[in-house]
Amino acid sequence: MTLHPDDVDLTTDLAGLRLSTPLVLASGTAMYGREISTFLNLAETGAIATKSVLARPWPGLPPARAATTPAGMLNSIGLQGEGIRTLLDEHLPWLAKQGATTLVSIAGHSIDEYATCAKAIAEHHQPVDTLEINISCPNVEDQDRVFARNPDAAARVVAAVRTVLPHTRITAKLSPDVADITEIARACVDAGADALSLINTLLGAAIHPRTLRPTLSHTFGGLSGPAIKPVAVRCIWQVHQALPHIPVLGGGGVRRGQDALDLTAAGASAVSIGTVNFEEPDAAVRITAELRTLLASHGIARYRDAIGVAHRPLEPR
Amino acid sequence: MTRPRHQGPAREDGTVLLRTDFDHYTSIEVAAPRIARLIQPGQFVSVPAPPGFGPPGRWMLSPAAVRRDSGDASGLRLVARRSDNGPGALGQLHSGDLLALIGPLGSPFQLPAVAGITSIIGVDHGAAAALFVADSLREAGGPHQTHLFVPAPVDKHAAVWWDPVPRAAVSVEATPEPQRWTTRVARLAARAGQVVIIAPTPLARTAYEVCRARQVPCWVLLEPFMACGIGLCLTCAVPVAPGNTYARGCVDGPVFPGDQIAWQHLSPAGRPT
Repeated sequence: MTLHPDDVDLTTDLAGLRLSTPLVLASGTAMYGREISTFLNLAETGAIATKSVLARPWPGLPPARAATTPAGMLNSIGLQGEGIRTLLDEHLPWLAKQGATTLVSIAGHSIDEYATCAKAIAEHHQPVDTLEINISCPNVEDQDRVFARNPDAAARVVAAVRTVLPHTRITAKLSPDVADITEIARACVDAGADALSLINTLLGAAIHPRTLRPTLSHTFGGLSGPAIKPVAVRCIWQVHQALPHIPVLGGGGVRRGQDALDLTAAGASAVSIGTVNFEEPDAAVRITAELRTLLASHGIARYRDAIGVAHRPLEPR
Repeated sequence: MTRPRHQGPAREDGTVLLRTDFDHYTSIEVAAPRIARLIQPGQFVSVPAPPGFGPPGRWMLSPAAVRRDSGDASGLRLVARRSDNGPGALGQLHSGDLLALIGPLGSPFQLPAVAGITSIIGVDHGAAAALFVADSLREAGGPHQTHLFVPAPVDKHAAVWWDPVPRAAVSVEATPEPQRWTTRVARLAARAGQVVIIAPTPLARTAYEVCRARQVPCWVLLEPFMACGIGLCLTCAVPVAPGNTYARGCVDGPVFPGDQIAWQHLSPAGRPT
């Protein structure tokens, strides 16, 4: 049965967060909404995940911060941001006025810093109902080891935030740079995460062709873009299989409706788009339309019915 | 889903009217009446990179000239360096092609009136933005002199920089070796009330230091790597003094007073620029 695209219901749900469409602007690719709102109607976009903020303003890393590769982009911004107070005082009220559905992304260099961000949210009048915890940060109290690569460290971050914000929807954003992503996923869920975001960028490096030295000032950076989509599909598949009751916000290399559908079929309940926003700031409009058409062509009337469909055996025709 | 209507930077499908290939550069005339109406010197547009480049699949170009009086054919002249290992940003375009532009981007020059002439120095593809600045000053009646430094040899193949409409006070010469650059800039700054420099970062830094030593105000148009050009990605961080903070090259810039840039952090020794 082929449906008309307009008849497809794109609404979805992320641990109780209702989204009008499954497309979410990934954290770090849309700032706090203002710039991209000149290209997109945020009220009609599934949601925006704000750029990760720390407990205080942070300058980030020196240039050079980015490099291109044949199928992806390397970046090492270093969490430049205005801090949780400015986010709460200025940016979230503005986003609320736009009618945007918002996931607030927080980061930290220590468990205390995550907790400080959570406390600022708890004490502020601006409501925050969904939090994305960026755990791909170096822990200064543990030789800069990244929280997301150790189940205990990841769980301690989530637990610290959960203690301060017992009623806030929490999603933990996982790194693919681990031996077993399901182990980290379980640890985060056991510590109080309601949903999981995956994947963050993969760690990479580039050598400058003229100097034969690292291109990035920090040497290493996060790889995003089409190169990482198969890794995202694999990780989403594994986490959905291991924890089928936990909603996943899937992302990694999504540029077309087919990419969004692939991640959904692997188990994502919603799909984030990131690097594509840089070159096509209204990409969410196009990808949403393509996804709608694809679902219709498959005879799938509700987006939600496509979530995890790849895990089910193909029915004989 | 709908796209909002607004007066800021926006998408505009330009139409390529003409492409001309020179030895080192490709020039196109592209009709884009909305951007042509709005864009000011210092601002830029993003153009799609050729297939196989990126992500990010957009390159940022400052126009060399803007034609505002031709109705729907109003538009821009864009110039890009031809690549040794590929088509460059513009080399695959043909007349009639649609070019998915985004613009105008960035904050424009706001040059103060000064005693003496404004010396505009454009190096390599920075020559494009320099010509647009010069046009603007000529229209405003401000005394200025434009110096373009391009790859040698400077002959008929450098004609991309000689506009069919004669530009007064424009000189074109081969970019000197680094050791001669300082001397050359010092000579230009000596006659100037202010200097505008649009050049690769190491040359811009040298030029700024020459101006500072002579107490000549210096404005710098930086061209850092930009993934988006609209303020989303923070890849184009420009360290600004004082305070160890970073401005966004694409939104807060690309034009900065030279004194505002923390040069030692922008181009530290041993780092690619």
